[in-house]
Amino acid sequence: MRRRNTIIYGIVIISFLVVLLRLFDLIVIEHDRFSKRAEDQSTTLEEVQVRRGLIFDRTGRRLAVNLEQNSVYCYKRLLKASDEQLTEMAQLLGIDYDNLKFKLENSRNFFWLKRKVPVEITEKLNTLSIGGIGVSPEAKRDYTMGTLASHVIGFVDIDNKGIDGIEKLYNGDLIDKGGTFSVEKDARGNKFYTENMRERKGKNMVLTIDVGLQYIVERELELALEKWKAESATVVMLNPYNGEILAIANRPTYDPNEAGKYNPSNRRNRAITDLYEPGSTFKIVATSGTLEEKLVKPTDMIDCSAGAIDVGGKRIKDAHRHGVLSFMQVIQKSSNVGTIKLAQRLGKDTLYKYIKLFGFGKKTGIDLPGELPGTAKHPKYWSGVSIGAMAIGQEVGVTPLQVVTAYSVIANGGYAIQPHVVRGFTYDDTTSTLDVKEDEKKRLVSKNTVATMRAALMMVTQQGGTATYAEVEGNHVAGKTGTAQIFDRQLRHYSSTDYVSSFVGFVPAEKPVLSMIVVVWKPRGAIYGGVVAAPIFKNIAEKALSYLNIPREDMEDSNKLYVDNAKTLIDVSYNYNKLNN
Amino acid sequence: MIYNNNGSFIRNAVITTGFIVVTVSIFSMVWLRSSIKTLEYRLGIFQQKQIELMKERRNLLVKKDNLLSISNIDHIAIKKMGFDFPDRTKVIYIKDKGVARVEFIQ
Repeated sequence: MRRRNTIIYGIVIISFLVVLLRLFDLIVIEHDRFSKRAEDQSTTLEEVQVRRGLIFDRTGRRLAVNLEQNSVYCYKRLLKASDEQLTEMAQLLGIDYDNLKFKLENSRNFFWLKRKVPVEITEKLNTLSIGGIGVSPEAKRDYTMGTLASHVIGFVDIDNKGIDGIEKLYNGDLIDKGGTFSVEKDARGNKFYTENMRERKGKNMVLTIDVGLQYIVERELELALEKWKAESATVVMLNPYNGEILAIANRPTYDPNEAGKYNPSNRRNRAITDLYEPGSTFKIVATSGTLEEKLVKPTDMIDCSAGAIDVGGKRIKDAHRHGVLSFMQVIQKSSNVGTIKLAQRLGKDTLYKYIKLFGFGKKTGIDLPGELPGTAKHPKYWSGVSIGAMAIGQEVGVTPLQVVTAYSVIANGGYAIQPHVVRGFTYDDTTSTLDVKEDEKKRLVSKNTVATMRAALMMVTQQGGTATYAEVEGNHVAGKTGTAQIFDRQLRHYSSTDYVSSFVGFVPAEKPVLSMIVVVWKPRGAIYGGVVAAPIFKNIAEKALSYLNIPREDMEDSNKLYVDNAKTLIDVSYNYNKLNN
Repeated sequence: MIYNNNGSFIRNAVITTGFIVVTVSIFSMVWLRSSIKTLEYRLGIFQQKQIELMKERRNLLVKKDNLLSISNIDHIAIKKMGFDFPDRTKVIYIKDKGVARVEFIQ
């Protein structure tokens, strides 16, 4: 009995020892391996969802946002679906059934069936419970304003990578890096609560664009393009004091929500990529230069009576014979002869100095992709006729943005500006309050030159000027027209039918709130900048001034109705109705 | 060690109590851990729901943005309701201070 007990005790003790040894093996020796296996079985690694930052206009309106959608994928090896299920799935996803079958037969193990499908559809798809078919959340970029400001905002590809516009240039800021996070799960795959970051978002961006102004510009441009049957057109509106772009519109245009459906040329931001010979709008360079160098006084008379001038063996004419003109009238009447005579006073090198000073022949540095520097050749490459041609805006290639930037120098009192479309970044989803840094001002031309040029440019839109159609009701406009023939590269001479009509200016002339350029390529029915582009400027400027609550300058005139402050609106509406009926 | 004349009784009582305490403690720990897991699980469900609702909110905000886009408002205001941009020549100005000034040009 005792011996049997001893044997049993022995067996029990040995068994315990074996168990203890195994436990030691599992807990101590094999700890890392088993703990990792346990972790693998109870946790899963998930991808951090990456979302692009939102894009706001300067007033906080949302221009580019993220639409939550799902992408549908297939694991071919796990696929278990009847023909009926496949038919239903094809209908839900809007895929042709034969294409779906072809995909299933010819694709690799994993493939996307359809990217970025609305959540409502994938919810229906889930009810089909097809083995091997799964959905993964993805964000689709949505441009809430459609075609509005599309050339500024740009668009993204299927993987949400910026392809054009600021979406491309600021891709690194708008998107954050992804990664993975671990989350515990149970045997059924239900996930436990985790404090790990499930989503990362890039910085939000605030633009200088004002959607209200952008809309006014685009609407008027559309109407003008239709009226003049033009090939293309561009408007750039900016704040002349700090270079903030308030609106950029191009025609033809495109909708960034379906950018692929449009011709690539529609996606070109012509305001910064299309070079043209500016014609008379370029006269600001020679005229400002002669004033700055004190080679002319505003009252000086210049003989333009011949109506033409010979430069380097080539005869350059005025559109109309003018007679003897004052310096101011040379600008007002846009005399080629007068401007060339002024440029000859400057000489080649000084004229070139002022071409560069006003920013031609180099990029403005705007924060948009694809900007061209333009062409302004060095005097050593000039021909005999160049000094005359360049003074009146030929033999140079400029972008609309360069021209309006140059005029902004006169508008803001003579200071250099840096055009830009991004005000800054914010992490807040709803507001766009930012500290905007002001750059140090660099004076380019003197106060006297600015004052004279401003007065001369104002005369252009007044009686006797070339752009009376640009005059805005109640406010003075300062500006300059441009009408330039397009050089036909095939025929190697200037076209007799194709012109670029433009008007550039600022308003209100004495204290500008905006400077703007209108450029129309190949208008039909009229060619002159004063006829084609100036009325577009006027229409946009009038609506923009109303939108910006800029009062009329002629409020002090006699045609006024005064009411007592206490009666205010009631009397106003009463008097208004009484006078109207 | 506790030993006296009634040593065996006390010893048995201590052992029994100890056994009960250890057993209850183990079960309490298991129960607590299980409760935490249940809570984590329920929180996980709520978290998932929260994510879904946040996504739905985002999509609704996008819909709202699209409905309030200027071109959409323009289409309704100008083409359907007959509104137009204000005519600058008929805008009335009123000064905040002093004598109110109204401009009217026919």
